[in-house]
Amino acid sequence: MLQAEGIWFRYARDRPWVLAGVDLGIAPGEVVGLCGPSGGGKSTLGRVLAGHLRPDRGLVTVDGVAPHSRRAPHPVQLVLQQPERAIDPRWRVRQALAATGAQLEGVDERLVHPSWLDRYPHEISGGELQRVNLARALLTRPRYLVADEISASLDAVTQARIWTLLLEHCREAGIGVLAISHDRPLLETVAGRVLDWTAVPFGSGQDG
Amino acid sequence: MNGPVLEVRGLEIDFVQYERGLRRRTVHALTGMDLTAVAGEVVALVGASGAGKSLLAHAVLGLLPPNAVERGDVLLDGERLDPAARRRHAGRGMTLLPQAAGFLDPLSPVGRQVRRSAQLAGSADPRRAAADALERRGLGPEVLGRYPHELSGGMARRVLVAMATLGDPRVLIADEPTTGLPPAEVRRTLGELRTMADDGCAVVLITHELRAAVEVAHRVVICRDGRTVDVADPAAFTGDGDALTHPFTRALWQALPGNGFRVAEGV
Repeated sequence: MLQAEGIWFRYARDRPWVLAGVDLGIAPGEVVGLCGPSGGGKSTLGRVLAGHLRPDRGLVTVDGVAPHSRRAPHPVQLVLQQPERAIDPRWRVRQALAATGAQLEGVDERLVHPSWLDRYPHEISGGELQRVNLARALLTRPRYLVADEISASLDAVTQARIWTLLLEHCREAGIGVLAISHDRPLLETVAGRVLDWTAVPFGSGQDG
Repeated sequence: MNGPVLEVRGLEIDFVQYERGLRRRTVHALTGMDLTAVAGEVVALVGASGAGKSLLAHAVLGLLPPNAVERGDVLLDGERLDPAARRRHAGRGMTLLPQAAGFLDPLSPVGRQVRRSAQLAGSADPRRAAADALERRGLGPEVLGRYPHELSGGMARRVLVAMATLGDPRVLIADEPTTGLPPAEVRRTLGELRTMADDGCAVVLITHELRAAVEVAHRVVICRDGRTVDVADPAAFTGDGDALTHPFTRALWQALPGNGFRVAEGV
């Protein structure tokens, strides 16, 4: 179980709270949608869950323990909207995938075509690079995946393809997914339940 | 009234770049774009990011950097114009509604920027025209003194709409005007574009959201990897998409969540 309890977060002491007492639980293999307008803090929550940001208050646990090891990949992996910002442009695809420490023979060829391995990120299309990005996250054998607007800049066909592959892999490996998007029809298609995100009301929570 | 105001025929754009000293590299960004905008109509240009939609908009207005090489024709009122001539029409007959609030000058108050637009549009009383344009969009006089970073995303979007429409443009190119807006605001913005078309403007709506395009447009142009592949009637986007003739367009429709989320092979 991925559990977030009473998460409070702000980017600086003199900035308003972005997350104010957020609770969330995701079971293994469960796909949860998080829907809401931009600028509300959905992505911030994603980064807190994946350990990119440390909450000011509250605790994130995976199967009852707070992930802390710096030697192993984080059990909650974050996949973002823009793969070109997530993969080093000077690395070939092979190198980017090998950085996970996993054997590349295990990569699903429907996700990463073998001919892409020796290319640089700018030599494959945005949709293809997003598949590489997803494959990299899956290679670390995560327990949970946070998919933050991963298909927002793709065309509908590529979107359907990437989600079909993602859901298949997560179902097989029992990976829980938090799907973050502004696109409600998409979330209703891919997720078992959809949560409506409400931003912290302006001016509230300043007491802390 | 019914002749095309703006016509783009076979537009190709290359960028010439230098890497590692003098090694020259040519990037083919657009490889064949066709677009016709008619007064009184909304034409939607639909495609994924990277398909070349914004580039087409900037090319039409003659706003490309000097290393861009252009082939093909861009006609305004049936007259073929080179980029420099088109640039003279930018902001006068042809207006771009840019994608992001980043297009506002961050160092200048909103009021001054809107007044400047009014002035360029030839308004006799720019101060009044600016205040009126903002008020029509629910932005009070207190907004005039604010800087762009003091506006919410939705407010900045409304300021941009106000600026773009001040000059009563004959061609409005709206570049992803609804990205990141809440549903109510999306409907409002699209409604406003439709109203402008009804008043005689030729509106080009650039978007990656097929559903929104189908709702508001008179014609839907589908583009992919730098070229336009199909022009479809919005009424054909219904049911299973059997009325759509082009396989890629049909595949896009069938892949939408709610339409089956199907992955077509071989498109």
